[in-house]
Amino acid sequence: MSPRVTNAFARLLLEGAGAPRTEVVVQSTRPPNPAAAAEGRVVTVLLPGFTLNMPPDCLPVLDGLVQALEVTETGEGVLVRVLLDQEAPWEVARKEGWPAETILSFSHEPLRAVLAGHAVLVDPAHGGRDTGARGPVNLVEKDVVLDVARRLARHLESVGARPLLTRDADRALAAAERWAACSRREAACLVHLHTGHEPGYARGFRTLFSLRSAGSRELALALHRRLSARLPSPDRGCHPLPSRRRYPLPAALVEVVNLAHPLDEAQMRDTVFKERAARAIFAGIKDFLAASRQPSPGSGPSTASTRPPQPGGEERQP
Amino acid sequence: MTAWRPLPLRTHLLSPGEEPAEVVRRYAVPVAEAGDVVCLAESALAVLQGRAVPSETVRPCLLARLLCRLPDPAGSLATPQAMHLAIAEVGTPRILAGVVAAGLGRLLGRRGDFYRVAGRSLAQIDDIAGTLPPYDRCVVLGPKEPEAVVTRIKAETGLGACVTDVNDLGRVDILAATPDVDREAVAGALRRNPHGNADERTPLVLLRREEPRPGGRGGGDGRLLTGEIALETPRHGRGQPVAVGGIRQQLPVPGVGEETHLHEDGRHGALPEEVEVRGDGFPVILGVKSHQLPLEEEGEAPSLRRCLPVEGLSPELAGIRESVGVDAQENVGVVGRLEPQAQVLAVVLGVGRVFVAGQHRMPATGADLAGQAPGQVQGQLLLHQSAPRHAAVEAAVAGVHRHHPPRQGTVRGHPEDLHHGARAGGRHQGRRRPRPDHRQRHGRDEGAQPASAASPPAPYPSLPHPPPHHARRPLPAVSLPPPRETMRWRGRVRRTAGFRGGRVRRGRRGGGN
Repeated sequence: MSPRVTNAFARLLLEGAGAPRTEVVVQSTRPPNPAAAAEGRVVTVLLPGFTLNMPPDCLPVLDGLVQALEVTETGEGVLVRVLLDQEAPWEVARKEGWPAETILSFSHEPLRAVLAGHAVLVDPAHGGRDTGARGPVNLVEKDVVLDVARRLARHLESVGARPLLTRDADRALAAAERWAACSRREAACLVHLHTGHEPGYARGFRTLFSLRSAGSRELALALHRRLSARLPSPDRGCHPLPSRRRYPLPAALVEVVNLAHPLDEAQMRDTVFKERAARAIFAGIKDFLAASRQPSPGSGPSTASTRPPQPGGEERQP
Repeated sequence: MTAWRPLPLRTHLLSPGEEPAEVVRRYAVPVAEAGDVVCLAESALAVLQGRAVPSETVRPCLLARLLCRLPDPAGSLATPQAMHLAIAEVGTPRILAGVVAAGLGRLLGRRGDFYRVAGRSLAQIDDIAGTLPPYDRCVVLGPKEPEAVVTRIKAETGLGACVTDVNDLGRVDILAATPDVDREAVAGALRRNPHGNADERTPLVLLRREEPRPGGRGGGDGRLLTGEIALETPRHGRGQPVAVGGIRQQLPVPGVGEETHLHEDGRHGALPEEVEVRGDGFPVILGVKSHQLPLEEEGEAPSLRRCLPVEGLSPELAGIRESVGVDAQENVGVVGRLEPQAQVLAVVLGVGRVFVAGQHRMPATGADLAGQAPGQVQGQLLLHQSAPRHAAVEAAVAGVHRHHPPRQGTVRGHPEDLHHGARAGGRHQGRRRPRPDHRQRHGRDEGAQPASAASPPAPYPSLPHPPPHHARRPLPAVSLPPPRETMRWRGRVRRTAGFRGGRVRRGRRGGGN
C-alpha cells in the first residue's frame, strides 16, 4: 500500500515555545522524507512517493502571514505549496506516528517587524446601559464587539503591538471620554468595532471611514480587503461615513455583522467566526502599517492608491 | 482497554444524496487495514441524508420564538429556526415536557433533563453556523437510522463502523456502531475531537488499534539518557518539581505484569513536553518535561530544568517525594496494584526498561523487577503511586544509582525509607550485586559510593488503609506548552513508528537488562 496524504490544515499558535507562529500540517499514513524549498513568497514541499487520499485543494489561511495552502499530486508525489504574504523564516519538521505529520512552521517575525511597538486603538462600541444593537434572539452589540476586541488585542499582543482598548469591560463611556480615548495621538490607528442594526437590511460586514481623517480610507480598505477574504458572510462594502469629526489618526469603523439579521446573530455565537474576524482585522492593520512604512510593492497585498497617512491631524482632502 | 489511534480523513464537500458507504469506500478503504474502525460524524451523515434545512425556508412559530431564549445562547436550539425544527421532530407536547423537566432539573442542580425527556435526537441538531459552509446557513438535524448506515458500511467495506457526535468539550456520543466496535474505546479515542469543529472537512476518522511493537532489547546501544525528575504534589508543595529528560519514545503503558523498554532513538535533546495520564485502564505519566533539554553527555550530572505541577495526587501518599538515582542502563519497576482510576505516576527517566507489576503488596512471587547494571547516575527517578482502593503507596524502585543493587519492594513513609532496601520479591536478572548501603542518600550522584555488603533490608511496615472510594482524587492534570517538535503525549502513551527495541512481555516474570 503506497503511503497517502490524508489531511492538510494550518493552525495558528499564539502561545508556547516558538510562538507566535503558523504551522502547516500535512498528515499521512507514513512518515515522509520531505524535500522543501522556498522561492520568494512560496514555500514548496514535495513528499516523494506519496499519493493523495484527499481531494487536491487550495485552503485559505489568511492569517496575515500565510495566504493559502495548496495540496496537489504530481508524478513524483504530493506537492504542498504554501503562499505567504511576505517572506518569513520557516522550518520543516516531521513527526512519526499514525498519522505521521510533516509540519512547516512559519515564524511571525515579519509581522513583528511591522507591528511591534505600535499602539493600536480599539474601540468596542457601546457598553454598560448602552447595549447597542440587539439581535432577534438575545445577543447584544456591546457584548459581541467586546469579545472581538479582546481577541484582536490578543493577536496584536502576540507580535509585540500595544492594543489600547477604550473599554475592556462592560461599562459605559461618556461621549467625551470616548472621544478623548480615541484621540490618543501616540496610536498608529484606530478601529471602531460595531455591528449593524438595521432590520431588513442585508446581512454581512461592512467598513466605514471618515473622509476628514487622513489615512482613514486606506485603513478601511485594508481592513475590508481582509474581512472580505476571510469571512464567509456577505460583503456590504466599504463606504465613507459622513462625519464632522476629524480624528488625529487614521480611523475606520468595522461592522462585523448585521446583528439584526438572524443568520448574522447566529454567526456571532460561533467562536471560530469571531476569531476569524479578529484575525482578519489584525491582518488588515498589519497591511495598513506595512504599506505606510514601506510603500514599495511586494511586502504584501497591494493597496491601490494608498497614500501614506499622516497622523497628527493635518487635514487632507479626499 | 485497547487504545486506538485516530486518523482524520479529509474529504470533498459532501452533498445530499451521496452514499455514506461510497464516501467511506473512497476515503477510508485505501488506508484501512483489517480491524480498523471508521467513524462518521453525525452531522456529515445528516447532510448526506438531506437533513440540512436552510434557515431561510423555516418560518418559526410563536412557541419556537419563545422557547429558543431558554437554552444556552452558545448551544444548539438557540435560534427560532432550530427550535421550530425541534418541535417538528418530536412534537409540541414532548418539547413542553422537556422544558418543564429542564426547569425542575435546574432547581435540583441537574442539567440535561430537557434532552432526556424531549429526546436525545434533539441534542444532535446543529444550529445555524454550527457546521461548515455552505451548511452554516442551515439547521442540520440528526441523522436518520444510523444503525442501518453502519450496517451497510460494514457490509460493503468490511470495516467496523460507527456514527459519532463529538464536540470540543470532550463529549462523545456514539449513535450507532457495528457489533465489533468497542464503544468505550472508540469514545476514548475520539474525546479530543479529531473530526474538528470548524471547517476542517474531516467527517471521517479511521481508528486503528495500537499494538505492542515487538523488538529487541532496549537500552543496549550504550547511550545514556540524562535528566532529572522531581514531583510536585499538593501535599508536599512546590518543593518537589518533576522533570524528566531523555525520553523520546512514546510507549504503550505497560499493563500489570508487563514490562516495556525505553530506548533512546538517537535524537538527543528533544523531550516530550506534554504528557498525558492514560493507560490501559489506569493512568501513567511517562516523561514530563517543559521544554527541550539538551542531554548531558555521559558522565555529567543531570540538572533540573523546570518544575511541572502534577495535580490531583492523593494526600495519603506515603511520602515518596524524593528522587532516586537510576542508571540509564538500569531497569526500574513499579510494583503495586494498578486499578482503574488509580492515580499512578511512574515517572521514568533514562532507563532501559520500565516494569510494572500488579501486586498489591510484595508477594514473594510478584514483582519481578529488573536488575540493573551499575554505572554512572544519569538521572533520577521518582515513583509515586496512589491507589485509592488500596494502600496509599506501594511503589518499589529498582535501580538506584551507582553500585546499588535494585531496590525492590514496597516503600512508604519518609523518603529515607527508600534507602531501606526492598523486600526481594522477584527474580533478578541473575546478576549478583553487592547489597546497597541503605543509608546512602538518594538524589544526584555527587560522588559514587562504593557499594558495601549490607544486611538484608528491614521489612516494611504495613500500609495504611486506602482512602474511601468517594475520596478518590481526579486524575492528575499535566498541562504543558506544546512541544517545539512533534511529540504530543496527550492523555495517552503511544509508541512511535521509529521506536526500536521495544518489547512487551506479559506475565509477572521480569528481567534485567
